[in-house]
Amino acid sequence: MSSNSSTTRDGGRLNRACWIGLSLLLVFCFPLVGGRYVVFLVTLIFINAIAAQGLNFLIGYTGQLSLGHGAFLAIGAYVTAILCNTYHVSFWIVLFAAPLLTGLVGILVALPALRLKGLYLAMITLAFHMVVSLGLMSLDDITGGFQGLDVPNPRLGPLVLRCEEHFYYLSLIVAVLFYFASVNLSRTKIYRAFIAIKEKEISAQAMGISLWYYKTLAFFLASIYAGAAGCLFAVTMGHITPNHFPLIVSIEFIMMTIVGGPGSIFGMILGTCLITLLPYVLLFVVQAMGSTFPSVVVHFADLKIIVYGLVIVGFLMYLPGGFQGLKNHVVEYWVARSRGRGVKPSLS
Amino acid sequence: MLEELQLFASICLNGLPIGGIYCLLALSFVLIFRATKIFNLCQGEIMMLGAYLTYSGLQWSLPFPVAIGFSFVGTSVVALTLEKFILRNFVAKPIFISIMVTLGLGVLLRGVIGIVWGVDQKVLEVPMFDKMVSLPGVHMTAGKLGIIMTAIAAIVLLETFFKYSRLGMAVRATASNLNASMIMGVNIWRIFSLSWLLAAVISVLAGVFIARLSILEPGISQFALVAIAALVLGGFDSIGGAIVGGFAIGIVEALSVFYIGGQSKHLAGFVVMFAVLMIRPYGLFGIRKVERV
Repeated sequence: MSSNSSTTRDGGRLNRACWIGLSLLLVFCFPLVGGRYVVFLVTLIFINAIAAQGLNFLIGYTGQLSLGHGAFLAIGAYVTAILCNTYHVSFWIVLFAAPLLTGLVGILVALPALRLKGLYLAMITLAFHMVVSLGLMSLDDITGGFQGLDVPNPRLGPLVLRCEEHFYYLSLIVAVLFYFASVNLSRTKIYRAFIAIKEKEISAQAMGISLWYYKTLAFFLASIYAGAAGCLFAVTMGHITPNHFPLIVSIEFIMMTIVGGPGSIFGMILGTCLITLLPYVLLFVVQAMGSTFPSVVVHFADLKIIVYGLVIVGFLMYLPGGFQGLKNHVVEYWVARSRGRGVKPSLS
Repeated sequence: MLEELQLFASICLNGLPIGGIYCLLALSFVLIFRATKIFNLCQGEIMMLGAYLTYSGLQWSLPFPVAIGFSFVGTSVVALTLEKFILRNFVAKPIFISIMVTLGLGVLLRGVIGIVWGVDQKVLEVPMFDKMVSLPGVHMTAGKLGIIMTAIAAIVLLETFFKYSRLGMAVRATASNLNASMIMGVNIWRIFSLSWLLAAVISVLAGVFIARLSILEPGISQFALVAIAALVLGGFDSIGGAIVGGFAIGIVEALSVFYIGGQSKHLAGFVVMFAVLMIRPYGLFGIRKVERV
């Protein structure tokens, strides 16, 4: 896959196509061998990967910190639930409507965010998350309050999606589409404008990049991704409550960015896998330890957030570029060594 | 009409004690943010730690002043440790990195507190809290009056300290220009520690008051998020703004609970915060420094 391999250009492309084909085959066959629980976990990874790529447009590309990504996920999920449950709209329309409506909300949030940077932007997105999550509880005639809403199983003609495997394939298809969309986007003018804004807003503006257009676009794209993820989340869970979207969800998405390395799609997906699985792995460990140390099981929730805190602080202190940054260092190091210089690359 | 006005006034008065707590919390944010330019999102957890340490002190049947003194020491040690070993690495880095770090530290502290003290609700007894005090025109419990007085006293004392003492001047110098004050011989690391120390002490007071006014449980760290609304309203770097913002948010909450319903309590604070950030992001008293697009 690496660009400096000795194969010719066509050979490299063939190689790449083989890899993609093989991995697609693997993920398509996965539900045939995996248990239902594992299939459900992988579905969650697909859903989170979509949302995390959305956050990547903000944090990774444009350099805008959003603490409210979980709120967009909640909006996508609730739009899905309300349209499907209350208005009986066909799911296949909802699958397009939910991201678009969430995207429109994203534009509304972007309007104040255009004036704000850094701390102020973080605070307004934090306030947005709190307003949404408290609002979901308060508006109980629309959102069902604490009880939440049921999401009926989506149907397409004769086909009804109702078990883990079905949701797996649905999420897989949507995730692959969104993945290719963001990969393609990273080769366009829009991507370069985002990066320019991240590097230095004033110079970007001087080069003719319209800040308000591209910042709004970044928020719009981020919330479309989050809306799609929320829609899939709602149908996969079958029932959603405000408790599915606490502030910790937004923190988890930020963790995915930190762990994977902001600005890289590969890193985002790796980070998503690790952070989505982290609580389940932890639960497994805690249950295994439970027979000898019963008190560990009682404190699982606290242990989980302690690990979260350690991951965030540890990565920001010792590995600020995340795994993508680590990979870059390793590659740089070996390239330098193989050229015989033996220069240790400087840590940026 | 007169009765309505009286009702309105008494509702506003009711919002003042909780407003005083928001003042104290907002003040602790301002103290750290001004000197170190780090926005400390784990302040709520530090406050909670203060409340729990006081609770433990009382459990060991220490008298109340000793218990709160113990909590001052314990919380300050934790805050200074975080500052010295973790947040010092992030001074003068982009602000969103320090936001994420303190967010992580907050989550970490919440977990530790949950393990040490459990998640069940506890009652923290403050002596003399429910004794009625009758000043002319005001009927209030001693505790509520005490909260308001503490908030005002804290701000007056801090303003005096910053204005007239040599050390206070050094803090202001650090706030206005880090490099220049370093060149002029200010030991900025000591200033940073001092800011964290003051913030920790103030948030212990806030934590004890919150725990007594509502109940002691891990959920009380959410009050710090509402205090951010007060902070935004007052301006991120204004000490005087913290007091106005704190009381204003307290009153807005009390009014919204009365006129809209109990559900909207914290929502009101965040809606105000959202609106202020949209219309006047630097707050009422902050320095206009927001870059425009």
